[in-house]
Amino acid sequence: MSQPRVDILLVEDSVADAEMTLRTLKRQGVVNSVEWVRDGVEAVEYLYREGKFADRDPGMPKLVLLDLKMPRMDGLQVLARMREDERTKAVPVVMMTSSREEGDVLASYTLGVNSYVVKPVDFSEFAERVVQVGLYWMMANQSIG
Amino acid sequence: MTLDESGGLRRRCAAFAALVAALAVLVCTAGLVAWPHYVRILDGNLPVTSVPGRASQVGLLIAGLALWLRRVPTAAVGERDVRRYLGPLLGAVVFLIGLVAFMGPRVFTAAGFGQDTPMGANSALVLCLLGMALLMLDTTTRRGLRPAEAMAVLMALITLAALFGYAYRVGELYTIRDSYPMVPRTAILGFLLALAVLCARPSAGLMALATSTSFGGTLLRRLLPASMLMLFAMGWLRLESERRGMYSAELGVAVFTLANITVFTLLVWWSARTMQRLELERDASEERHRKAVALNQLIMANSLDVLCVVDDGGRFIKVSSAARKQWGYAPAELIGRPYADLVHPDDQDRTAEVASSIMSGQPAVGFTNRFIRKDGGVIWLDWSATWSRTANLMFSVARDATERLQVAETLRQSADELARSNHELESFAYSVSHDLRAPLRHIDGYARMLEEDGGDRLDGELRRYLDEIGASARRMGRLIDDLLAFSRLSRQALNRFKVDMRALVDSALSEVSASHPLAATVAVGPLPNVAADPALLKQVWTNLLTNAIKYSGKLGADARVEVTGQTDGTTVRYQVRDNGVGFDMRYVDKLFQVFQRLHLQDEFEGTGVGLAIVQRIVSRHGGRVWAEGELGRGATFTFELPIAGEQPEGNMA
Repeated sequence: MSQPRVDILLVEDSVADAEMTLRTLKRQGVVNSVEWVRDGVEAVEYLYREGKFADRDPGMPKLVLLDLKMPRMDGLQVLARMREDERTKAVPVVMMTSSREEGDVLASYTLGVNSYVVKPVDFSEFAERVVQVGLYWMMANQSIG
Repeated sequence: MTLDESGGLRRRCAAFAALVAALAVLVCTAGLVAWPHYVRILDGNLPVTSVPGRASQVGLLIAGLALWLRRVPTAAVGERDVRRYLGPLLGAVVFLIGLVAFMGPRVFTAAGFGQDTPMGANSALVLCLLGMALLMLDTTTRRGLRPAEAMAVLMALITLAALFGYAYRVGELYTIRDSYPMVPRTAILGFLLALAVLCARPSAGLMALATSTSFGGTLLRRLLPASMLMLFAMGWLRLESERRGMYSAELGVAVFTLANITVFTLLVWWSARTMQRLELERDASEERHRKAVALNQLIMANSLDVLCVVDDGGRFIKVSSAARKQWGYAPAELIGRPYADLVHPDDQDRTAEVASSIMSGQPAVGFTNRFIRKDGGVIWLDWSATWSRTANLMFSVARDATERLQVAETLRQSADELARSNHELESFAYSVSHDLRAPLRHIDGYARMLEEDGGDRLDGELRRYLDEIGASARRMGRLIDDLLAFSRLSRQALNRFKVDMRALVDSALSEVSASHPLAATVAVGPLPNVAADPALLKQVWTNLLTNAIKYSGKLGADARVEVTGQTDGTTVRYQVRDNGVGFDMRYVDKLFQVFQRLHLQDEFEGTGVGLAIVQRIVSRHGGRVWAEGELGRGATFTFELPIAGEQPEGNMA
């Protein structure tokens, strides 16, 4: 079960948003593989190889795209958990959310988010931003390992 | 006209007494030094060749000293002051001298006045009376009589008799039987000293009437000296005329009587007229007083507030009828009680503090405390109080403040409630707006994906439908964004800085022209700077400039936009004028309302929030904004900001 290494972990509860994001990333050829999980709990399980992800390939994703408002465990809680853990401390996290609320932005940066992107309504703008984020973190940015 | 006003007269009386005392001391000292080389300077060319005896001069000298020492009432002299004992002691010495002289030449010589001229019985009596009077100057009997006064009157009679004797040339009046006569100087000094003894205590006994400003006092002061002088003068005239043989005794009596009648008629008439004038004055003043009292009673009976007068001990002296309704007490129940009895225990200290500052001359207005009503209920009172230094009383007015405070409390509660529900509404709107954005994004996203994937299988019309779906979703997204921006305005704090207005306008203009095809010629005039929130103010300029450029866009190269500004007193005023499509002034009220537009969406794009944002920002700065326009002739938007940037932020409607 040697799968290719996952480039991006997409944490998104909205099927539509996930579909639009995945489609854009794949179409533009930004990444090879994207793993999509539906909420914070699944994200944590994936990252630390727990539950149904216990058997997954041990590598860490190069980028985590994190939605803010999710059932069970929200984006800020996932982010806090990641920054506490040695294994995920250095993994780049980009918040992708509808919220422009200052409190959310401030909390995200305080917890150590790498970028905060507001999802636009306009699909072409949305696609453009997803591509920019993907390209930047996959290609332009020099990541660890 | 009150008895209190006689103070000046009484002071003059006391001064007269002191002056006579000093005069007696001076004259007698001079006489003693000159004796026995008697000089006539002091007595002039009088019918008596005798000189005043040394003993009488010593007596009068000591009497002068005693009177000088006793010119201040004993009660006002300190316990250990020598004057307290020395004055009466000297009086006793004078009495003793008089007594020795009165006992006859033998005793007089035996007492050591051997070589001296013997003293007449009348002079000796005068010295006795004078000494007793000085000894008992402050003595009052149980029935209120003053022995000193009786003695002074007796003295005055004896000395006056002697003076009459000299004036009428009747020896019997100044020489008692065959004793030595009372010399004129002794008679004058004795008479003056008798008056001085009376005047030394001007507010006691007989003198209280003589020095009072009452009708009686006035009458006494006018009639007594006048009638005495008249009688003396007419008696003298009659006697002298008869002696010179000018008319017979019968005619003399008739003329004397007629003259007396005439003079007394005049005197009485004059006094009666004075009395009448005084009485009229008193009636007028009584009438004024009566009216004042009536007015006072009316006020006390009808005032809705409680009016009260409090003495320097904090006790009620007067309380108006409103106390019955306001405090539950009848006014009579409160008279004499300390007002502190009614003050709520928690307000005692505060009230005492304010009361003492009122008594030091600071009138209190707007002081509020609680009173306990007779029925035990608590009532809030607003006070206004003044201290009268002349009356030594506090005048205060109490108004029931319960209702006012209740209204204020209700207002505060509803303001709190309003603020809370406003806040809830805002956060509700905010989260709803966010949740609305996601489906809009999906609508636009799927429409676009359908177009991308199946575009070749759709004809032109179907593709247009898809475009329309996407455009509608995007427009709704913008509406939500603008609404969010608008609602955020009321939560954001103002950060005021001195703003370089020209730089701000230039930067707004470059942003506007980046998103709008800029056909118009924009002229920016000199703009005064002002203290304001730069980010918010830039939003104002961006919105106004966007409108001006948008609505004049159809004119192409002929479009003109003018930006001007000027200082006007305490405000700065800025204008954005364009020559675009303008608007109908009938709809000017709708211009600044949220989602109100005067143009169709396909004519001019827009969400209808821009001017509402402008108005909110300007009013938060304490300024105002208005618009003028004419269809087809362009529009002018003006906003004013206060220069002093410290105004309280206006609450957002």
